[in-house]
Amino acid sequence: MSIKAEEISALIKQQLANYQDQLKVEEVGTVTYVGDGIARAHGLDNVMSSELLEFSNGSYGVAQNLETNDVGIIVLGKFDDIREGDTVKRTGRIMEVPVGEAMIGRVVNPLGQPVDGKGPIKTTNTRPMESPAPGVMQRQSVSQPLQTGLKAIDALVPIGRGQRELIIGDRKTGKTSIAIDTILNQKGQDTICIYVAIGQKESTVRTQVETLRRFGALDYTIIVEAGPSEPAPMLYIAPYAGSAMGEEFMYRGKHVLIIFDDLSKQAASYREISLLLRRPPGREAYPGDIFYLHSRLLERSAKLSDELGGGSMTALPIIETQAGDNAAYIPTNVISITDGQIFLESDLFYSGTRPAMDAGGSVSRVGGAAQIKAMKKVAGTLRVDLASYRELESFSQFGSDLDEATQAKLNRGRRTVEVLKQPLHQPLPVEKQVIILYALTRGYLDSVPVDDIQRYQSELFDYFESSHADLLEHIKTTGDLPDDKDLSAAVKAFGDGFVANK
Amino acid sequence: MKLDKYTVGKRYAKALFEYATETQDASEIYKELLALRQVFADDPDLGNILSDSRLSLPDKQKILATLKQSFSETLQHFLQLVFDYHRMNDIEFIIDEFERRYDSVNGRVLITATTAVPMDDDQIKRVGDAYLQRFSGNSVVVTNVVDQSIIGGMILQAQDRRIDGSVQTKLNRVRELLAQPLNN
Repeated sequence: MSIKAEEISALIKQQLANYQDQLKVEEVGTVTYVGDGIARAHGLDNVMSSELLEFSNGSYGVAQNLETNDVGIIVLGKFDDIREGDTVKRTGRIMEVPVGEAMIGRVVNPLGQPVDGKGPIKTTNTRPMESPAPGVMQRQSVSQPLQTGLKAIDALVPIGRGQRELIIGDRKTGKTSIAIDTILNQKGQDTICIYVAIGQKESTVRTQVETLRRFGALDYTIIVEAGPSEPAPMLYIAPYAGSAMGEEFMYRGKHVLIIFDDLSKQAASYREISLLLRRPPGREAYPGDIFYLHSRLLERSAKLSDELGGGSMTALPIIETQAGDNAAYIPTNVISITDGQIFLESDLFYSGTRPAMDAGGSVSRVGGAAQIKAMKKVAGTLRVDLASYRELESFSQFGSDLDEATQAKLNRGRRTVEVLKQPLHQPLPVEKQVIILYALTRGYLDSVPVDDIQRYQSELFDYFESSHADLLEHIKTTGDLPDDKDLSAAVKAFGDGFVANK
Repeated sequence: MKLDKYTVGKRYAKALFEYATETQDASEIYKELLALRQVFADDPDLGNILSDSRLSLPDKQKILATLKQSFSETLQHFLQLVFDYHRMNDIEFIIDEFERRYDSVNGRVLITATTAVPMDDDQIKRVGDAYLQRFSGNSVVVTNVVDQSIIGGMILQAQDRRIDGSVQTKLNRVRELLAQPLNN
């Protein structure tokens, strides 16, 4: 390979083109304390709250506490080579992250710098990390569905575009899987997904990225990653950075799905920062503004009015509970902020009901308006069926002499639970969900043995795809159920031909 | 929580400065404080020895008596007060803060000019005049600090305001530009 000297010097010239030899009046302060990811600086009399500051080693920091004698600063990045007596400089800017189309398909840290080794991100647009949420007149109520592809969720706790739906449960109950499956189901739905991993093990994040790549979901997904090895300020700002990236698309009229995995770790890192900044601790040692931490974040998810392009940002925050304690401080806070929650239970998870959603406790406060008509019709009785099944289930263990009505209810319940089970990374389009739920609620499944239901379901889908594609298409395009006669005839015809395993 | 040294400095300096301006000419006190600062600069451990428990109280009082005898009555009382409240190790912060107050009332600006080679008197005067033309103030006191690591040029610092025209900073900026990825 021949090296052309002219080419190299032309490139260097190009890089130096921006060099300006001018003197600027800077405002500086002196570092008086540094440690644990925070610094204190004396001076900086005119600094603004949340202003970006530059240390002499090139690291950046954010002014957090403005006190009479000094400024409390959280350091973003390296702080081990900052010394007492170093200067720290005002920049006059607030924190910003790069945004835009170029971010899609990339894994970035909370400052928007790539960490996937695929080279620099070519975007010049930035947005402030903290920005006010849309106001009352800039919004409209949630009206379009966001299909998760999970029968249990789409039927019982439907989510609308612009909604905030909390996913809450103990460790190892499948919280992240629901989020990842929802991302997978957005393929071809013209939705940009942002997965914000906060304090997740780097190996786990790697696995998620691989999963998304394998299913082709990276083409519309941005991953913001703040690992547990990074200092607490990075974990604290990660969800705001993700929201800023999402807002860029939302204000351009697009639909965005953002997942915060998980906010309990963000709260813990904010607690760490606050304690180090000597803010007074409150309940569970969280600072006084811990509610505001999450409310201002989640309020930025919205369905914008038509004048603003009608874009939306749907948020799926995740909270990890300890031993099922939903009444702890952070879970109650976030439950009260969000528009509903999906409770995941470890008992259900280990008994094989996956997704392990507790149908009784899970609600969606606004999503019902966004559910398609066909789904509303078939899913109407599901919640009641499940509730009476759970009630009778414990009762029926005492005796075997049950009347026919009770037997029927138990039968239906068992089948409902079975139908709502769904394997990992296999989201279902809504029309197929409607078909199987139709078969369930109209009683076509009552005669099928419980063990055969999964097989019944997959064969039913094959049958409809090959013989009644028009019915599926009808549900998909109109959102309503086809003529009851046609549909029941089709399901019945399949049921007659279905042979149960003996 | 223990008060930090800056808060202590501010409180004592404020009291002394206000008392000095009410009763007499503050510049007299200021001159004496400059002498006092020199004493503490010559013996960096003096403040600590007078406030910690290495020496017994009578021994410390003897040192204090020697220290304060040459100063005016006002300052003698002040030193006794600071000693009684065990704040002798914060005396330098008190003097700094007094100086800041004194300067802000009189419109005097202290400038530190860092250069790679020592400046002559004419250069120092021109730097001071140039500063006064651009920023507010009645008079300037320019201190020249020589630091070879800045290679050339000058760094001017007046309180929190800094104008960095050193060759080292310019080289760093060029280095940053060269390290940036090409946008094409």
